[in-house]
Amino acid sequence: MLTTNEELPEDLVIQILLWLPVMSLLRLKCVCKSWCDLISGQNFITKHLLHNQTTSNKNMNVGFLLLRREKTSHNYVFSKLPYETLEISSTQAVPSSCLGTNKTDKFDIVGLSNGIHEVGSRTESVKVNHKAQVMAHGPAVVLNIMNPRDTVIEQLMDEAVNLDAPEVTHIVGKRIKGVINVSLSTPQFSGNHNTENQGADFSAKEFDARINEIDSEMGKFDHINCMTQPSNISQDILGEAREKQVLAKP
Amino acid sequence: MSNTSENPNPSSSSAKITLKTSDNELFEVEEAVAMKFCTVKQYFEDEKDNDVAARGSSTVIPLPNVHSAVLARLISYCKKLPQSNAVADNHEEEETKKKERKQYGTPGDLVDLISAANYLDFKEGLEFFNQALADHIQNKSVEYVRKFFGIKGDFEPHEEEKYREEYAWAFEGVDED
Repeated sequence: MLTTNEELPEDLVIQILLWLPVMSLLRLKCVCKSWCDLISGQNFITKHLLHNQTTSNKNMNVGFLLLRREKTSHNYVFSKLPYETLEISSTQAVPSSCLGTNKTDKFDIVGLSNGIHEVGSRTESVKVNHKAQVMAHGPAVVLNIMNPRDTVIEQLMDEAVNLDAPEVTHIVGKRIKGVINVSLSTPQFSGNHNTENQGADFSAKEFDARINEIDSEMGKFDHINCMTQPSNISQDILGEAREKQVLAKP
Repeated sequence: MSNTSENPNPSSSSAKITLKTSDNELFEVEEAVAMKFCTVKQYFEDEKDNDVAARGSSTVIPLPNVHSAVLARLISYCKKLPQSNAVADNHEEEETKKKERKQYGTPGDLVDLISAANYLDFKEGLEFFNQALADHIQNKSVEYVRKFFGIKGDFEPHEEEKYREEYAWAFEGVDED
């Protein structure tokens, strides 16, 4: 193992860290205080996001975030579903600290198109009574999932079912130039929402408008453009994912 | 090390530029290669303004921050450059690229290459080697990364413990050092 004393200047370290996946970054926040501040900083998050969209690994981490509750243990877990493979990969437990201990039983997910950047820091809440997949673009997208147990358990107990329940969620978080904070999914399912959603979902029209807005800002990134028909994409993906899910069941 | 001060390809008509490394080795490289190093390019252009470039390859450009071993690697990377930074379309290709990135030496070498590429303002090279080093540390433990970068952990033990508990999932599946 190398024992280097040759310290790379900070700007070079940053450039190296930009290539790392989110999970590695979360781990490396513990290296020292300055790295923690660096990695947590909005500036770095923004750079990291843009970097992932513009460089050669841009397709590697894009996909859905799947949140569900395990049938047996009742623990909440989240998984990544990369666009390309749609295989459920790297299922992780939602940290218990994110699960509210109070009666409202809620937790927050802050997502990125390229993974979860931060779990548990809330900037704004959106009520969503059930959901399965979140495709989020941008840092500081916060989904505060109010999950009255009855709904969540009903929807998420069965792992196969939870793939069926996508919905458009709310755009929250700070908007920073060039970075879009949006989480969305298939609008055609919004008919299934019950009234508890209180405007957390978009109409198809609003959805399109939002997509156009994203396009104009992020036109140079093709994978954002490819979202202009999210319904179809998502539907196909869902169908496929569901098949895989069913197949995967023992 | 005798290096490339003898022109390995005498029939080539392209201009050569001589670079002198920190350990006083002379490298005669093709202009096209040398021009990828913006620092060299800049130097060359400045010289041109002074009308010194008329002497052509007899101009020796000193690179006091670059060791010959590192420069040799950078030049060899330059020669393969075209396909190196292409976008990886799929996972398989990405794996191939990872392997390719691994060929450029130990992590310690990579640090040297990164420093040199940075000094030479060699953008593609810098990206490539940054990525190679990121590949290397991606699954490493916090302790490894600290040691690697010569960083001393400055969190209170209980703070660190708390964080590790909270993000336990991010600490799983870490490679052996």
